[in-house]
Amino acid sequence: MIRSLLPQVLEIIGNGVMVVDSDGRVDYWNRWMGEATGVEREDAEGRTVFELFPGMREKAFRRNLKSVIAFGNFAFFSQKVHGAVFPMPCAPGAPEGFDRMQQSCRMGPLRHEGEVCRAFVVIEDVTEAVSNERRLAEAASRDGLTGAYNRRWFDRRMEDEFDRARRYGRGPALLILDIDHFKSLNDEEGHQFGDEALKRVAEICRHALRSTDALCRYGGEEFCAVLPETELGQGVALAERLRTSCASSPIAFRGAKRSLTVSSGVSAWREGDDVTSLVGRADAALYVAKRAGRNRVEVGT
Amino acid sequence: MERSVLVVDDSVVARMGMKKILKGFPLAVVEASSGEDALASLEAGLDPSLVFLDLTMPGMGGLNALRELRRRKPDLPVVVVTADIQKATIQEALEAGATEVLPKPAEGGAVLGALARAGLA
Amino acid sequence: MSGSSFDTLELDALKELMNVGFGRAAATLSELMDLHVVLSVPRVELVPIGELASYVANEVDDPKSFNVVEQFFLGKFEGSSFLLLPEEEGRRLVEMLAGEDADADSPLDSLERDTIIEIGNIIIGACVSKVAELLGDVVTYRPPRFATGALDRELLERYVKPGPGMALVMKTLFRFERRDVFGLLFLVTTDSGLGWLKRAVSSWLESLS
Repeated sequence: MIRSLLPQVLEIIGNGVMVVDSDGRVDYWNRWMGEATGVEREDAEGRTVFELFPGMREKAFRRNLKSVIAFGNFAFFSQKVHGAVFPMPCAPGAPEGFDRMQQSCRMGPLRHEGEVCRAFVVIEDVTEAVSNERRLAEAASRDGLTGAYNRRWFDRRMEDEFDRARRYGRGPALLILDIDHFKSLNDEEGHQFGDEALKRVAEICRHALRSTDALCRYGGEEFCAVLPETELGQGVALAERLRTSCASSPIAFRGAKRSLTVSSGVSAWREGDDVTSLVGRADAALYVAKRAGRNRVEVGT
Repeated sequence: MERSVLVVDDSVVARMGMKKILKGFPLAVVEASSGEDALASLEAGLDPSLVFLDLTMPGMGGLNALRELRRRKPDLPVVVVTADIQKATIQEALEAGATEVLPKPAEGGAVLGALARAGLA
Repeated sequence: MSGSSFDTLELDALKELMNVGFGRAAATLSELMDLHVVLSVPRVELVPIGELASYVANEVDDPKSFNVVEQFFLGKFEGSSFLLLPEEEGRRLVEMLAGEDADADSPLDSLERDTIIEIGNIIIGACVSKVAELLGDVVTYRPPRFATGALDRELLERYVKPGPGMALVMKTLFRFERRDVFGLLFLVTTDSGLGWLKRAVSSWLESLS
């Protein structure tokens, strides 16, 4: 009897299940699929997945489907790389921030008398898990006060940047920015004012950066901007913009109001660099800027 | 004089399989475990009526051995017996002078056909 | 351990099995992906599991930067399979395959990874299933895992737990002609897989004598 009950499981299971032939034509479409796509079984069965999901990566899917049929392979489409193999809207009540359901999918062979005749496809909605994962990763990589990335994240990001530079020959520029006279500001106006100053400077920086750039809190009153694939000149221009923005945006907090200035050192990747040498040049330049009277941008050579 | 067949394959098991199929025929089966080996047997005076030749072998490999066999004995039928059944490989073997190409593991019926075409069965 | 002794003839038989299995896999792969695969003479060896990592590292010229796709296969024939691609080769694979319908939004690094996993999965599946098929078995697979870095003990022991016993290592070299991409495939059978394999090979040998 149990055998006759099993088909019901396919209908109530919390996953999408499809059976497709070697051309990707749908032979079976479970209830979950109908609910998730709004396409009823009668309308789905007999059409190909490529018709049903326009915009899916057809070539890669076909290649995998062929390997399932030819070799009895299993194919796995992880959310990390594919996001959504079968583009579908998010389920009702899904977390914010996703324009499509995030999926983890697998495909494998179905055999009749020993011969592979169809492929099954199982789709799992992992949007919520991905959202949680992103939130956690986000929290673990940020500085709580300023929202800038933290030092640990910076170290990892620099490794990635150097990896890319090694491969493609285009490296990042680096900008280290330090708030001038921060200690006396703190002493005279109190720590909360100091915190406010840090937040404001981070905000000014973030506003000026491109979406591919990243702002990190490098030390107490030091920020560091990673500028991928950027020439020295562009880095300096950005540092200048930040310098003037900061100088013209006084900090107001609980009745107190103070102007502040920042000093920066800028360096850009060159052949043979490692993280230490690139950071070292920006750091040395920052030191020069401080020695030369602050509220300045200097270039690491 | 009894006619001979040269079986060239680095795999003992593959040669065993071939010998088993050839057992019923009045043929002397000579084995070689590489292309170099096969050429050395010819050098030493062996004059086979047919060669079964593997392709994927260490050393000079089957294709080079085939070209060399062709150069020395243009009329000797050489049947390539190979696991590599990609179209391009089969094409390459035929261009190098193979009489025909059989997929591995060698099957009785196919071998018999090759013998018949070479006038040995 | 049931299967840890293979004689020369049995190892030769396994080699021939690999040869035939991989040949069939290559024929189908070449049709699927329009690539001619240059097959090499496979090697089959019994290696103590404890020495597996150094064995594999010894097999490559420069173990510094490799992409590794590992996949566990289950059946009577059972074990781990590794496809090793030097980092450079990974990039060539991407140029070869990913251009077609690459998602412009996805960064190149993840695209590369994606392509390598996908192709690794296909190649491993093709080879393993053809060998299994010759032995009368049908296997299933766990999801592939990917790693990149130096091919050292630490990396490999993530996949093959060190322990007593022997691993049967079957290795072959792939070269995608015209595209000049090469990789190494290793199959490492588990202990239970080893016993079954020995019986399957013995009965195959009996049929020949």
